Amino acid sequence: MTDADIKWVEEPKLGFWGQLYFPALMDGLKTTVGHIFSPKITEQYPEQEPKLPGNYRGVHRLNRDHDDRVKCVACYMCATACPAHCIDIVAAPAPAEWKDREKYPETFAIDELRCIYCGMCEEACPVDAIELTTLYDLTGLSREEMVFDKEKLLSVFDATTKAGTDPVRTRAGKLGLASEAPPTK
Amino acid sequence: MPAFDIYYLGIAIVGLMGGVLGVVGYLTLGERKISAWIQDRVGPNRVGPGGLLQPLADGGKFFLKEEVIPDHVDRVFYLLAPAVAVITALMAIAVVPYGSTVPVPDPQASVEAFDASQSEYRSHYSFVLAPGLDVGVLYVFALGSLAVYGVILAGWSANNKYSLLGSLRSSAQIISYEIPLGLSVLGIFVMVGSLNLEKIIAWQQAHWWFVAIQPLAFILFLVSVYAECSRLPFDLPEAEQELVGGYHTEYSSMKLGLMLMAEYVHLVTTSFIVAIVFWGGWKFFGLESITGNPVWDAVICAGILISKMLALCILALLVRWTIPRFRFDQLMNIAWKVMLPLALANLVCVILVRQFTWPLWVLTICSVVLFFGAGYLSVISQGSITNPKRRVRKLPPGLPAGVTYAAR
Repeated sequence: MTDADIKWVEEPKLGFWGQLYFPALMDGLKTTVGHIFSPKITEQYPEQEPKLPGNYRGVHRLNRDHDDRVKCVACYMCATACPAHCIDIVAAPAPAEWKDREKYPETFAIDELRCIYCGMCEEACPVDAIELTTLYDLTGLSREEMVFDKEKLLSVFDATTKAGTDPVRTRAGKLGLASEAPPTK
Repeated sequence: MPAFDIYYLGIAIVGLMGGVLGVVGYLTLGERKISAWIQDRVGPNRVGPGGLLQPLADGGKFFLKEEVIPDHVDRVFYLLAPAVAVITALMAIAVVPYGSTVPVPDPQASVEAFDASQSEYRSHYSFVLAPGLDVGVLYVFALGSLAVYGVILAGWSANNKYSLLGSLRSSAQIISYEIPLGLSVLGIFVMVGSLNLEKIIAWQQAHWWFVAIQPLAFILFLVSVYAECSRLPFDLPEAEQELVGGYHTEYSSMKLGLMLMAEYVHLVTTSFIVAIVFWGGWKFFGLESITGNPVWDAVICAGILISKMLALCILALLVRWTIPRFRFDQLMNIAWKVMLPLALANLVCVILVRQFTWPLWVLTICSVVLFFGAGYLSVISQGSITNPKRRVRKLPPGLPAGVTYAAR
């Protein structure tokens, strides 16, 4: 590094009004007093709920299809994709009258405390059965309480679709392509 | 005031202390609210209607907090410092009028005339704790300088480098700004011929407010007052970014509360002084005697004076959240190279006007000329007076001559 590389910067010169200092102070006061009367941007949280975008990643839900059955086909793709290993599925053969799939989840548990809410389960799901909702104020008194089982996750679906906060986003009611039976010749 | 009556005086002291501490409490709320509004926020609004009980909650919190006295402090002075800070701040209020007053009679030719004027003076009630104190403003300034002891004791006894740096800055700042503070109001004492605050109000009643006669003195005094109260832009003693908490870093619980309270008490006292000395005290374009009933007039007078004081407090809060802090060299430059010469020049003008009994508007013109003249001088000197260019020695790259790395 030589002298030529060093750039010496001069302070900007103050004009007459700047040297008087008080005009600049009055200018500043005008700005701050103007802000006193401008509308406030604070959200009064418990009384005023925040408006969250539709792609907010909150509590999970398990979607139902048109017959109110759980949409999940127990393929384990979400559990495999999950970086936090918080999804635990026990698969069982689907009931005989469920013609469109071979398996269904006997139990489906998500540990909401381990979950990092990355949304990878939602992306991995081939039948759009698992989704993240905009519920953000999840609380509980024990660790066990925060492990959501299948019924609880289905009830989240019922609650959010009923309240209209999270309409079904993906291919409502129908299983995805992946679950369709191979074409018969 | 009628003959000395300990009950009246006790009631007045308790009422005034309660009033001042109440104003102090609500100034903390005002500070938080105004800062919030300026930043487009709402501010504290959970305790009571609109957050109006927030000062109570804050005070209760201060009392209930754990009191930590570190092992490494000098206990005696550590415990003494908050007391000194608050006591000196509160004592200064004794001479400050908070309502309508009657000026002290001038010296009389004969003893009989003196007795007559004194008894006439005593038949009125003055809204001051210590009426007729002739050293008036000097007493306030003396206690204002004592307040720096609280700061220095706190910083020194805490045995902490940040506290010490904060208190050193504070002492340097307060001592520097006392000079323009005193010099700027000296012109007013020259005009009035007394240090007594009641007489200063009476003079302004007879003539015109000093803010119109000596606007430059008002500006200098207000700036010095902010520096004396360690208000932003002069809050270097407690610059959080540089000094953690400044001189009260090691304090906790109500001791910290007392330290913070002392600053607000100073703000209230000095706002009273500015309102009385420059803004005509309890006079407001004839509003002070609009009812003709002495009791209602007294209430209105107190209301006018307190409104003026509150307006000045709010101005201080607004200024705090408007302009950033000065650098320490800028602070000293302003005190010694700008405000001190301006205050001296202003004093010379006042003395000339007083000596040759020129009309008072000459002083206003003098103030304006001095103010703009100082600005013009700064422009033509390119700031080289207040901020002289220091030669920066450009070192050649590499090690200085004669210095080598130690052989490995």
